[in-house]
Amino acid sequence: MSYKTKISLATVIGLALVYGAYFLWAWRPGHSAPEIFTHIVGAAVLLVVVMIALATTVAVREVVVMKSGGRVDERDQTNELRSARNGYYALISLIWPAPFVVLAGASPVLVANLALAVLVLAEMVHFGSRVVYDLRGV
Amino acid sequence: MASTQVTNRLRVFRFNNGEMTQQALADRVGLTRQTIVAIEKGHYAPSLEAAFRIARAFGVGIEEVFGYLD
Repeated sequence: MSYKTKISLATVIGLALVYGAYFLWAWRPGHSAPEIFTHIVGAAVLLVVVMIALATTVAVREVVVMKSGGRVDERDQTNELRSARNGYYALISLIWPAPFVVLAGASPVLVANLALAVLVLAEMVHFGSRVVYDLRGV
Repeated sequence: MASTQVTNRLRVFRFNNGEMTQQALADRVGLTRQTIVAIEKGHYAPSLEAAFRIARAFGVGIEEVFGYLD
């Protein structure tokens, strides 16, 4: 597994851990709007911390490989383009109900959570498909 | 299972060139070892340029290393 594949996998794991925990918490009723927004910001900060920890761990383990390689590879570029495109498709296909949710008079908290969920899913599709393409080829 | 119609004889040519490692070949042609593995397994069809570089690394023509299943 290449360095970039490991980083992509780490990103999927980080997103799943942090936002999985957040959405499990947010799903339960009884939270106030300030509480929700505090947790959204907290989740973003936590994700940064988790990603720094995961990326550092992977980088330290891969330091020998990076010294000998580190070049731009055509398959890396192809896989990145294809997986970014998948993430974009996921984003545009999941975000279109958003205006209807707003028009239906949903609370700002629900709209914010739905938008966040869509962004997280799109990122998971992006990095998840990168891992699949790297491991299975294109 | 191969996911491209481009076939290759990379393993044979590596063997005939003093058991050249995948990393050594990758270094010579400017690709990563993972990409050489993917090409060798038939999971990835290299660009024309990369295919030429690989063939040149073995000192043969491109059609001796790569083929195409009709």
